[in-house]
Amino acid sequence: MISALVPTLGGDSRLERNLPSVVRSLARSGERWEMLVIDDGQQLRREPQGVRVLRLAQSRGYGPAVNAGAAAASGDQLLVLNDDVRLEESAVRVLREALPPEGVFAVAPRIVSPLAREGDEGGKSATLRAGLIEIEEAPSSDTHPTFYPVGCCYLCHRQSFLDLGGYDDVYAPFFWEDVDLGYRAWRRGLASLHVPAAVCHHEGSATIGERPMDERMRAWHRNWALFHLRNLQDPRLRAASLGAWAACALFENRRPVLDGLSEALDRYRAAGRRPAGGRSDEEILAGVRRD
Amino acid sequence: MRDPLPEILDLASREGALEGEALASFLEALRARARLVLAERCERLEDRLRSLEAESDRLSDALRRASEAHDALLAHHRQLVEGVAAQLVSIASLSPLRARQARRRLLALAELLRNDSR
Repeated sequence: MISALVPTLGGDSRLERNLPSVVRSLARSGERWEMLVIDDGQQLRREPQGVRVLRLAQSRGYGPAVNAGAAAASGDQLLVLNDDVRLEESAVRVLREALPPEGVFAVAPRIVSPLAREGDEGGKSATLRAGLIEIEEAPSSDTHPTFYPVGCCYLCHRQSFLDLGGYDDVYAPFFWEDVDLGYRAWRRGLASLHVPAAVCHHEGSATIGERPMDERMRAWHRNWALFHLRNLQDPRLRAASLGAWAACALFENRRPVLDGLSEALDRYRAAGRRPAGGRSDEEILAGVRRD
Repeated sequence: MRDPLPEILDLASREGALEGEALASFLEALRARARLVLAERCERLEDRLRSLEAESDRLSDALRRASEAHDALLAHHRQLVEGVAAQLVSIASLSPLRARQARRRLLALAELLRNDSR
């Protein structure tokens, strides 16, 4: 059974626009399904019809909302979606067929989006540049490994999601939690695949885009730094990332960037580094490099 | 504003990133990232400079056009005043017996000035 999880922060009109396409695609998947709309902070004005609504008293952001949905879901597979995503009818069926019983954490569709430079934000590769991991689009016409399943749309086994601990709340309310989850899956040898034969359409950061630019810049840099501090195990990569952040602290003049770095250090002090073990950083990065 | 640099260096020191082989990685990344950050700062300054230059060109053009319009208006008013002065001299030279004609011409001049002030 597939449980579709759609967290929303007062996205009544987005749900009205997009949920019918999700229902149609689920109905065509050949699998039993349910849909949970997670009302993050109880800001929905109208309750969507024919779906379960999980009301969270306090808004804590995308990751915690999906985690709450995963805990409440009945299905053995999770279809994680943003509320501004429209699915093509065959999308869920194609994703389901591409998700093997084991060895793969998640499958992500082609994500047609105005945010995508090359028309598809579903496939991602990672590059080490001047000490830091940078994410790049990796569009393709064939199924291929992707650095992480972009949070706006992917299908995974619920058990894998729970075994990994779901999204890490330390990134809340948004940015980099999906990269972090995909990285932890790769660390355990669980791949993420980009399946361009499945197609969805993303309106593009509809919720995050409503936040002020400074807040987004601060959150992006905070979580970018946190990702490195929490995840990197290779001593040379860690030293390089610290050198890179030192350069940012020395030469950046944008206040949100510097505030983001300070917040990252605060959160890292509380959350700490992940336990060692599993695939090495170099193995993971080599596996998702697209030359 | 809080400076994150001391905390980053403290963390790097505790992690052993400031000694041995790790120090080379630390310094190489510091240099490379510094170049990127400074290049991005230059790019933002160049963008700002380009936008200020465009704004300055726009203002200069508007100023030039306003100045030309002002000169044209001034020339027109000088011509008008000269014309009115000549008319008044001509009216002043009329015989008192032609007061009615003088009055008609004064009213015509008043109408001309009124129209020009609209």
